[in-house]
This record gives sequence, C-alpha cells and structure tokens, in this order.
Amino acid sequence: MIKKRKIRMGLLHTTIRGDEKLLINAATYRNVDLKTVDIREQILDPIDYHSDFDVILDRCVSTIKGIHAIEFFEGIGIPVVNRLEVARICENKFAASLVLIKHHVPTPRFALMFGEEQAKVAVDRIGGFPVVLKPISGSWGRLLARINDIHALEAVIEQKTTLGGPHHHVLYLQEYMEKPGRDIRINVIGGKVVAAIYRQSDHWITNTARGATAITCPIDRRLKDIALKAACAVGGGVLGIDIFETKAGYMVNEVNHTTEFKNVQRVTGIDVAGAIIDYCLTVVKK
Amino acid sequence: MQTQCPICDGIILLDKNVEIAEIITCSECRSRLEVTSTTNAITLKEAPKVEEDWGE
Repeated sequence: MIKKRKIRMGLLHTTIRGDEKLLINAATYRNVDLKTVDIREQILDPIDYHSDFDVILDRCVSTIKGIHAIEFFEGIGIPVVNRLEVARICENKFAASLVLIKHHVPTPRFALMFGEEQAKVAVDRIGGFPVVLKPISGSWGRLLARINDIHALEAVIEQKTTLGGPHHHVLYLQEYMEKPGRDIRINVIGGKVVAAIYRQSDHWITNTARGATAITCPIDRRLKDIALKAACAVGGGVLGIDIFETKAGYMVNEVNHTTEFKNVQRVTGIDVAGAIIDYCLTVVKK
Repeated sequence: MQTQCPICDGIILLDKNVEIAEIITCSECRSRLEVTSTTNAITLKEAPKVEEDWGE
C-alpha cells in the first residue's frame, strides 16, 4: 500500500504573532507538514533556492517584503495564498477602491490627487468636510487623518509633502462615514463567509490595533452578500473585509489580504485558522 | 520554560510551544521581545520596531 505523503506547507512570516501560532496548531491538527519561513533570512535567488513546498501561506506583517516574497514563490511555480494579483490590489487602497466600484460594491466616495489645490476641489466633489486622508498603503488605523476643515487640510498636506517620502505625496481622500461607534470585520475564505465581529470604539478609528473591542457580529443576508461580492472583486482567497454600517446600507471600507483573525476566533469561537489551512490545502501544487 | 529579559534581566516564563520569531512581552519592563532560538536555551532580543508597511 502506498503511503500518502503529507502536504508540505510554508508559512511565510516576519514575526510570529498569535495568529500565526493558531495557524501552526491548525496545520499540525490536520497532519500538514508546515514549516515556518522567516522572510528576513531568505535569499530569493531563483537559481539556488531549493524548496519542496506544495503551497505557501503568506503571513508577512511587512507588506513590502510579503509582496516580493509572493512574487518570488509564484515565479518559481509554488502556489501562494494569497495570490500576487490579490495582494497587489489589497495592499493599495486606491487600487482596491477602484476594483470595488468596478464590481459595483458599495464603498465610500474617494479620490486620489497629488497636490493641495486638487485636494480642495476633491473635498467638494466627495461631499465636503469632514474627510479622511489615508496613506495609500498602511494598516492598523495608522497615519489616518480625519480632516474637519480647510485649515487642517492645508496643514496635513503640507506636513505630508514636506516631511514624508514620495509615497506620502500621493493623497488618497475618502468621504467620512458616520458609524454607530463600530465597524464590522468579516473573514471570507475561499468564497465562504466564515466569521464576523463588530469592532467597537468611542474613537472614530475602530481598528482593534487601536484599542477597539471585538464583539461577535451576526451575519445577515445583506452582510454576507456584500462581503462575498467584495471578496470576489479583489480576486478571492483569504480576506478580512472591513465594512461600515451607514444610512445607505453596508459599505466596504477596505479589504485586507494578510488578515489578522485571532480576535475573531477568540470572540466567535469559530476556527478561522482551520478554515485558512483547509483553504490552502485546496490550492496545493498539482 | 524560563529565560531572562535582555533589557531588564527579569525572569520571563514561556510556553513550551514557543516559536522562533515569536513576539513576547516582558511582564516586568513591558519590552517587546523576539525569540531568536529555542534549541538548548531560549534566547531573546529586542523586537523590531513597527515599520510603516507593517499591517494586514
């Protein structure tokens, strides 16, 4: 009798967080041969890189390192979760917003520009103050500015364009959405809605990384539909989708491609890590 | 399992399943530390600072 060999999975990381430990445990439980791969220690040389992975799961906390790593491993023929195309869309808020509107997924109004005068015109076009100025790439609610008037707009843009690098000269403005003191984080994995939480906070920024409290969120039909539509729009895979509850209905704010889920798993009791590993097993190299 | 904080020399207790590159916090000085070795003795170094492109 031929013994079936274990699936070999590489877990690509920078630092190991609680989320990665949950993934390691879930892989062990499923008898997957999982090896951690610290991207900081790799030399991505396609001639000399020896790898026998059937699939790679990208969990790099550094977006830039992660994107290059995905590019490399896909380049040498190893399937990666998430795919490069998906990661490239999600890591850029402008690209993600454009894909969402292309697929008719409700999302706040947004505009991108490179100068102060253009920003002033854009504020009027997207509905006036307040607006949110975001870095084009970034996470955990960092470097977001809620701008309430023209003076604040001028000051923030001057600071960004004077003190920041070239990528801070890219100004992504988004309509400010009134929220009921929370937003929704919903995990979609392999085209299935897995779990959702409310992220509740008195602050206008409702990331758990900024102190918001995670509470189980019931998933109604409309929430499920918009989450699946957003996931499909960016190309699917393992995703964490941030959704606002607005007077006009649900709106997708952002889609994350290396989603943190330990708070979702903790408060819902749903095995999100297991669902991620199960999904990876469906995309292994044939 | 236990080891010493490289910042404050305080004693740090660790789970037996600790992973290389795992980030832990010293309960005494609150420093964020990264596990650098789990063979023989557990070794730690100060964790990297959060960089601008870090996130999800």
